[in-house]
Amino acid sequence: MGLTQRLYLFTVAGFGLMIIVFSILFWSWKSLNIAMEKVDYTQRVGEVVDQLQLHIFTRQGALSHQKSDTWLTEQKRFTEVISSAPALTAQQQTLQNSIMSQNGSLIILFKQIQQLSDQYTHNKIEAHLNVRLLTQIELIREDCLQLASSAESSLRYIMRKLFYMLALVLVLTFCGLTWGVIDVSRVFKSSIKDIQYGISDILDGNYKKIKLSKKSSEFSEFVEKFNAMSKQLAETTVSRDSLQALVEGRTEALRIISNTDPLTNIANRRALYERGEIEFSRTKRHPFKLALLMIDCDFFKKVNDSYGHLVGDQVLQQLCRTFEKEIRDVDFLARYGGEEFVILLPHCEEGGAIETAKRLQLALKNAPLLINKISLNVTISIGIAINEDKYATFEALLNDADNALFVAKNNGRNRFEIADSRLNNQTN
Amino acid sequence: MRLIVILIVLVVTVFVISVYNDKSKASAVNKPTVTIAVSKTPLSAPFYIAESQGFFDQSCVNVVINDVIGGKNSFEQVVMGNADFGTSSGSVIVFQGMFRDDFVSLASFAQSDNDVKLISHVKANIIDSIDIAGKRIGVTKGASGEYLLSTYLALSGLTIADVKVHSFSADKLPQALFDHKVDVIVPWEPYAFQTIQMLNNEAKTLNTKNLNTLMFNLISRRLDSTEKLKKATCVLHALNDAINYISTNPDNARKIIITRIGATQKFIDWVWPDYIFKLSLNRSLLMNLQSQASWMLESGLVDTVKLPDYRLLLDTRALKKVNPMAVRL
Repeated sequence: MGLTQRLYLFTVAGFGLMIIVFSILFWSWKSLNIAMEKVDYTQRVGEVVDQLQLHIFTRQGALSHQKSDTWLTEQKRFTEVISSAPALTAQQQTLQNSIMSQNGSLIILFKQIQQLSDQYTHNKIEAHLNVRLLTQIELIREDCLQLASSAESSLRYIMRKLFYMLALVLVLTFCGLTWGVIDVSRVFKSSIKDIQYGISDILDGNYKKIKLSKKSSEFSEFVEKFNAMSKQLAETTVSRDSLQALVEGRTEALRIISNTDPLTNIANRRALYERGEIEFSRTKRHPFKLALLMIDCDFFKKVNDSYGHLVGDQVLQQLCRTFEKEIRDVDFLARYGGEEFVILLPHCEEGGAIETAKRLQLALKNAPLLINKISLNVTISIGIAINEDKYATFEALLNDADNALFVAKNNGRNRFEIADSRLNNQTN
Repeated sequence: MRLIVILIVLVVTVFVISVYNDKSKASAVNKPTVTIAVSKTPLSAPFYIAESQGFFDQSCVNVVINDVIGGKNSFEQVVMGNADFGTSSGSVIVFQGMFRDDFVSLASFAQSDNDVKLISHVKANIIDSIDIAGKRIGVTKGASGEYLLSTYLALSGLTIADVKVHSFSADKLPQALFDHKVDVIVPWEPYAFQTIQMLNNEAKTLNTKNLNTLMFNLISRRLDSTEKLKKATCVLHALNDAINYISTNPDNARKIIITRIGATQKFIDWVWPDYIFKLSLNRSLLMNLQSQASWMLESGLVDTVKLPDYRLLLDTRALKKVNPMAVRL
């Protein structure tokens, strides 16, 4: 239900309650009027009865015509009064009937006494009937008092009922209003909170849909539009993170491109120097050796001349795949230039370097290269240099390996040579 | 969850109903039983209504109603200990109050100023009260008829000595007039109606309306224990309900009375307008009793020298508990 509908409902409920309150007040006013009429009636009856009783007392002795007329006038008034009784309850009507009946007896008794009084001979029975007359009036008075008590009791009952009904209506109104205020306030608070979370999510780059925990047509409409806007934003906006990831990806790709030899898909000379510097620095900080193998493909020019440059390129590529298979994960293979390759062997002593060199040569010997159905027996010459304290730079180490390679080539190829201190000294 | 709540509500409801029923049954079994000697007249309507509508069953006593003829017999049943409560007219209280004080009136529940009547045989040729002198009068001694007769006689300056009084029980009066054993009878209802029916045009009702207001009372022996007072209160509660029923359902009330006392619709229509049913114990009753007593003494109906204090024969305690507004003494 919408907030507007809720407000309409409250308004209608408010009108309804007002009508109920007015109805109660109207009904109470009517009931009170009726009850008050009864009370007035009983008071009027009581007053006339008192007068009648008084006249009986004052006319003790001889009953003159004047006294008799006065009494009859009062009695007539009494008859008129009791004839104007308001609407009564069944129990009250019983008392009213009693009063009416007693009044009939009253007249007959009085006339009887009047008749006896005229005869001047029946003082005893007249006195007795006088007492009976008084008793009749007393009966009427008692009925009247009981009727008055009953009317007052009705009045009190109506007042009490009115109080309880109004109290009930007020309590219901209070509860209804409280519930209404709490409900509307909860809808407001939760909807605004949901929207705040939604906005925060968007600020954080999370284009989530807002879901209202308390439904209301107004907020639902708002949220629907908000979600549409959020969706549009999500579709058209590149987030900072994705942009960064994109840049990093591209940078990495560029870095890989700039450090990779495009023909053999292994590290190029630039990458070799970068990694070589790092590994060389590490040997300065930690007590382990770094071995460097400089490898040259023997008679590569002949291959190019005999089979063409494409085959030559494939020879270089297959050489690299063979080298990659034979070295460790921590080792670093790079193309130094032309048909020359360098392998960095961290944590490797001279023995290890020799072992690796032999393994590479053996691998090529055991598995000739097969290119375009041509089997080629390719050999390599290897110059080995082991990093020692004497090397000040990585380039010096590389240079020693190159010198060793030169020696290996001169010594007949398909072999390896280890750079010695003399060479180093010469280089340095 | 909802099912569990419904089950709990059902179980609690069944438990409460069973406990209530057990309690009701137990209370019905444990309730004391009281016997009420009720004069079989429409004036006793509240008792018959309470009996038929179950107002006695709802009260705190089990009630057994013994039908008797006349308030005097009812009184005797009470004082002899055969009944706990009875229904008697003010005249019976006046008469009996002169000789004993071991009983009380607990409430007046019905009144009529035309219940007791003087009916003469047409052959007796009684036109005015003076004509009754020397006639044979059938009356029930010690009851309201005797008081009415003396009052009627006094209207013409006559006394009981001026007529020949023959005593009959109330139910024998119609036959006595029919058989010419007497010229005039003083019966109360339903015997007055029976007389009119029996003699048809040969019976003449003399004008005695308003000479006597008959007030029918619930009487008992003195309530000298809390238990007795409680029983009386229970009975009065049921009577109060019955009187309210008569006020709100007069037609049904008449039908119940017709069935209960074996009366005819015609009879009820004859007497009902004269009856007023209400619980009260007021000064007017005391005045009525005292004036009757004084009259009886002056008329020579009783031989006593000193009149009793009838105030002492009215016990207001039970009625005050049931309807305080109905007590003004």
